[in-house]
Amino acid sequence: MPAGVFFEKYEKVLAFVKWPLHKVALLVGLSLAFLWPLVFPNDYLLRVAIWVIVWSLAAAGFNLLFGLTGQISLAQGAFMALGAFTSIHLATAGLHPLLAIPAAGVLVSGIGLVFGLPSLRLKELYLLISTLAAQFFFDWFLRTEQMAWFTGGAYAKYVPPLNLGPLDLSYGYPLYVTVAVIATVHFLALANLSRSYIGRALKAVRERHSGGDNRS
Amino acid sequence: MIDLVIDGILRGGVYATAAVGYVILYRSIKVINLAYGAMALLAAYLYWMLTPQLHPLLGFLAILPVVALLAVVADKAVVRPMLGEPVIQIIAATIGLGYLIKGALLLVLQLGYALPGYQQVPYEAPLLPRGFVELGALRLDLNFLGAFLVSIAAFLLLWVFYKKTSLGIAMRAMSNDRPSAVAFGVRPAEAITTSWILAGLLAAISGVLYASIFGGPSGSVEYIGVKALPVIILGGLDSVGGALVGGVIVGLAEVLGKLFLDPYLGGGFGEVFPLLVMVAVLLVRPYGLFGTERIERV
Repeated sequence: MPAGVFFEKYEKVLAFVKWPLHKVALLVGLSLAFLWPLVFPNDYLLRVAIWVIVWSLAAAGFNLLFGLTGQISLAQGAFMALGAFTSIHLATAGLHPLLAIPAAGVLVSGIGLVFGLPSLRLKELYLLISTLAAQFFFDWFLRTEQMAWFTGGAYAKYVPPLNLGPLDLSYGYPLYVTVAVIATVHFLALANLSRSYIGRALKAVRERHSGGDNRS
Repeated sequence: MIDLVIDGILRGGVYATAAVGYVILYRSIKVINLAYGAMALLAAYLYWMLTPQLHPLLGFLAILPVVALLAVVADKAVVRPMLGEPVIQIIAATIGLGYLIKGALLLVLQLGYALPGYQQVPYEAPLLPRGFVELGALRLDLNFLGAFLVSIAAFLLLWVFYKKTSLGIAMRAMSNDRPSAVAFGVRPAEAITTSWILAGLLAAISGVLYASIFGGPSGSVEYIGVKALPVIILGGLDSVGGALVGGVIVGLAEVLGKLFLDPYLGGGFGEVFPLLVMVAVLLVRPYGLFGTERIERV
């Protein structure tokens, strides 16, 4: 990788894979991420790795909101819970589990939009407190007996197993690969978003609220 | 009904005391200390550990310096080095600090189980008298009344501190106009440390009182930190008097929400009702009812 800037086109500067070394790193990194469980088959490590990916995905969503746009939200956990329950219900209603996850995401974004309304008027501390309020509200809401039909109440909710045709993806290595693929796709999409014109608009909102409002 | 209203006002006093702890810190460093609930929790448990041996009043007085010291350590170790960073990052650090305090407390309690002679059944000498007092047609819970009176006493002391002592006046000047105050010889470090000590003391007082009116120390004492948030929003983040009004509003909202809305919406709605009131108020008046309005485009 030579030192200095050698690109003549802006697209080349923005590209993820700039040098041959990046191709090698991508190949090695992806194969390490996906193939290590075959070399060290260990159920416990696999489970930990799945949790690592799940939380990193949650943090990536928070990063989009706070890191890129500068809008703090402490209600992330509440929306995780809502998304989980919604996808379970969609899946039990007959939707394919792998389709139920993005569908639940769309539905929960709608609810998030409603609770994001205060962010049109509030900044920083006040926004932080109102989203914290949303977090505690949902925490109570999902625990009430009126919502037991939704959350399963004191009993856990039965989750339909993930499957892809005849493939059972609900345990062990297949589950890990599914989670890792979903996470990789989302990380790529987020990284791509941050370098697009939408991402630049979001960064403008973060840096200067009124300055970002220059659309004509 | 009237009993409930009075009950709401009395517990509002405790919430107001907790909220003033936030307000004092906000006035001096423009940061909300979200480790506040954990500090109150620590105070409640320390009181519970001390009181079998000590007189309740002595135990109460003994925990005050401990929590104030903790607040000063939190200031010097975590928040002071971060001042000048974006506010949200400091707040995130205080959230982490809160979890640290809770974890340490849990560790001590769990280690305590392993020691011989550990009390399995918690016993606590009550700080406030139990029972009721008849006042004409009113029937007042002595526990709530005592908590309210202690809160009001704390308020009065604070008022005297802010009005009469030179340090209090300096702190007011700091929160109004920092550069001018520094130019007139106010030492910022001193003012900030004092506000942390005051916040720690208020956390200890409100934690013990909250534990007292909600039946002993438990994990729920931590929610005093959350219940004080609507108070400071309603009263305005930088208004001490507003905290008292906000505290009463929140106490009333909680009690009346419990009475009228719990049967329809499920148990515990009263606990979150003030939070919803707060969001509604924020939409109409973004700087609270008594807060300083900043002209600013959002």
